[in-house]
Amino acid sequence: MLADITPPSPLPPGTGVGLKPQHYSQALDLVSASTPSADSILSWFEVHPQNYFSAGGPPHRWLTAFAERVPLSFHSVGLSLGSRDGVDCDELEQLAALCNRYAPAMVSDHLSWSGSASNRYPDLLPVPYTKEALDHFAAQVARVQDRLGRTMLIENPSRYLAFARDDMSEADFLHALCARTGCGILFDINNIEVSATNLGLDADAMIDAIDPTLVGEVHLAGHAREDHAHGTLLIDDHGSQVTDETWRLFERFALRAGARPVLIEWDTDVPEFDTLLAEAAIAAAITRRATRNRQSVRGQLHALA
Amino acid sequence: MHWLDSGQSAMMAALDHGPAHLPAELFAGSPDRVLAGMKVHANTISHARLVALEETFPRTREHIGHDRFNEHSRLFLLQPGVTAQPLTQIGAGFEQFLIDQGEAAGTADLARFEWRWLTAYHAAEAEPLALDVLTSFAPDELLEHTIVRHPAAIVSRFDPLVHQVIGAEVAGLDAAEAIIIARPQAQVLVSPASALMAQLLAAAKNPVTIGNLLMQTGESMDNNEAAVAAIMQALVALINAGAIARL
Repeated sequence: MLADITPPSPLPPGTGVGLKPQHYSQALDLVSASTPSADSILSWFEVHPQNYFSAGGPPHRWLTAFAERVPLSFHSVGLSLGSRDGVDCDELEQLAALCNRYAPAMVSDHLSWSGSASNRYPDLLPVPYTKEALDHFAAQVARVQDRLGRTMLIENPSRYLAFARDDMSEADFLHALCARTGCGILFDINNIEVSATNLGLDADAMIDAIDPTLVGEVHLAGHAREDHAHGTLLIDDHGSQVTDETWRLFERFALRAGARPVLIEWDTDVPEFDTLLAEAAIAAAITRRATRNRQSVRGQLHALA
Repeated sequence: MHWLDSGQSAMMAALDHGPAHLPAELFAGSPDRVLAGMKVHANTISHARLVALEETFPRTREHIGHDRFNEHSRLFLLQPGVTAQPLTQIGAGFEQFLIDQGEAAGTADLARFEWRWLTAYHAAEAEPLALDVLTSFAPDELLEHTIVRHPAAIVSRFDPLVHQVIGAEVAGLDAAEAIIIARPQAQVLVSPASALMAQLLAAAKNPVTIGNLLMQTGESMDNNEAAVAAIMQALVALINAGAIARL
């Protein structure tokens, strides 16, 4: 069943960063340079479409300039796909209008919910991994895809809580969601480290459980750490460098998956643009190394055969 | 417990009113661990809302101080309907809330100024009318020329405190009768305005010819020749402020 699904991956299999207003000028200079330099490691940018829902203003002027030069990925944080009231229709209509305006290479949102019709929570709240939740979530993803006229990616969440009645794994839930709707997976490797640490799961097993053919984009980010009497709690704040453990998990995934569009996410305490470029360079180097190793292993297997 | 029927309701009740509303059977793990996980979500939500208000009203916050601003913000977020808004709109009505909380009229008006500034920042684009377009017309053509308020322009009277605070950055604002906030291009421009300019911009809310604008606005003036001169001078000032769009 999974083999029948075409992974929606029109983004180039290179590195991107989240586009921040404080980096607009420097980032545009970089992608406008006629001669590729050592810094031209970025091949795409990601934005939160909710930051561009206004009719006009400077953000749109910048986004127009970027859209003319590089592929964009729209990473939504507001559809609230898991909400019992269903997808937020206002958000969906605004997202559809923005997609018509900028034709992004990719659209994604999260395996989460963010409130009800009467109360919005600016957070990504967890969804139980049950058949009931899967039925509901799949219906909402289908609704969004129908409205947008395209498939989307769904991101695995950072989890601080596990539902007592979960009856399938996160990977099984995502795979079933993809099979039902044709959507793909936005695989956040930092979220794997966060969830595995917080819930006492095996991060390597979580990485290995994901079908790489379904992954259309990878996210890498840093997190905060709190040590409590009840154990370590990792908080997905996107406010620091990618950790060694997340780099290791990323390489583990890349060895199976090969090159994928990889994003460096940094949303709080945003550093200088050069810091993001340095992180992107590490991601690119790991991808190259993993790709070489994949080819080497394949070559050896071929020789054995 | 069915997740969609009652699980989400329980989580929302816990986020809004505290962990006592969280059923013990909803999450796996020790009570300490579940509480810690819920706290992460509650803190993320609260932080995002408070930061959104701080970023919407930076001058108001600076004027009354962080602690008082934070106290007002936390109470404001408890008002019905406020958290139903997306973060970009969560500051709607904050100005009236400050009045209800007993803040000075000037403080509330400073918040109103900041809200208007943000509205101009995010307003639709339109090409601003350039003065040399008008100067190229013969007098009859000029009277038939249609103009309209730029979608990113507002003019309003504000409390003297606003003139004082914003006047520290914009020359001529201290003594002005009103303030124009406009965004003809990328940057938001703040300029002093007269009462007549405010009247003209209100009259140009919908497309209107300059001839009709002169008639409508000049009706209340005694000396016709002087009135026309004053109106044209005010119109030029509006154009220079970027408050008129080209049709």
